[in-house]
Amino acid sequence: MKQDDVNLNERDVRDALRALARAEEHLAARPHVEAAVMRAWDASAAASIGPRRGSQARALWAVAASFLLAVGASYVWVRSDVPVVATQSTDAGVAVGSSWPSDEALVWLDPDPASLQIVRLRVASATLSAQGYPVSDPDGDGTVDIEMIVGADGLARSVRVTASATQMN
Amino acid sequence: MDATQASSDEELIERALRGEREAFALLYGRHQAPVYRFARAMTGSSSLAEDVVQDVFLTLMRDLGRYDVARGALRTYLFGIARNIARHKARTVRRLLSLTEIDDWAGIDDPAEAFAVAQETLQLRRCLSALPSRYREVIVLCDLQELDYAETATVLGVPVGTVRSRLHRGRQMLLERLRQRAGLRSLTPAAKRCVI
Repeated sequence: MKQDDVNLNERDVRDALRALARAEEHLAARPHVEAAVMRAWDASAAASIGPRRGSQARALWAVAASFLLAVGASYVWVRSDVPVVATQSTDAGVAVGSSWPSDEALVWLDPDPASLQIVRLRVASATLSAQGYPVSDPDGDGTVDIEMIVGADGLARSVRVTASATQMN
Repeated sequence: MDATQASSDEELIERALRGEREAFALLYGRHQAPVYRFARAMTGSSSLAEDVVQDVFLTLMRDLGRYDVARGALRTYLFGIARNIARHKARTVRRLLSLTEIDDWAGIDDPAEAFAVAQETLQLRRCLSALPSRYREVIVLCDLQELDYAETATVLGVPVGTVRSRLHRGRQMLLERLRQRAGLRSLTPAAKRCVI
């Protein structure tokens, strides 16, 4: 590239870009990146083998089914002026309970499942409604219970409304 | 080159889907460098680019079964993932880090030549990183990664005509910026201060 020549043209730019590409041919991610990726592979493989594989798959399906039920219930809540669809809400909660999801499900949520934590909250349903998340209040006490799976970066990976206060304890 | 290394990407994916660790490691070794260089050019940071590489291959690992060879080469697919992750990270960081890490001096023995090359490279990188991302990404893909128009269009999810027009416009913008810098370099320091 003619650095001191203001009469550059597009051909010079393309030549300079080709030169830059050649100069950067040797650049690559350092070995620790590969090590991290392959550790994740090993963890994923370990989570998907062994005698618990069938039960893990069933648990994953249960999580997926409960999620769909929760989404369906939320849709009904949002669309309806009738405030209670308690049976659907209860079904969604009972489907997986408040237990920790399977290893397989956790790997699906985050490549580093060991970093995940579950956070349980009880919040005023009016607060959620004010934030644009209208939910029903099956217990009639003005609060709803929420479970969140949170990653090490502080971001929620999964959120669900649980059915009753008893699951919080 | 042994038979394993000569395997196509599709064969390696099939084997990785069956749980073969070596197959996935070969895919990583084959594609990580281009993905890294693309991410580095897009984010302006070596460390951020390594994060992108890691996330790209974790995404590939998770969605291995979703890759459809009929929709393009694996490298194109990976660039598409890298593009989305790089944009997300750039938004998260809320700033593009400076491309001033002179880590490509390696392999040049003459210090004077190394300095000159580094200065030119630095100017070009700075001008490139200052372009709007929609122009920068087509230049990076077509001119630095040497993808053809159709492959670039697949990565970006736009028509080929859009790639052509953005590439032309991007090169023109890059040219203008380089001219401005070259012009400034030819001015005296006092005049430069006035211009600045």
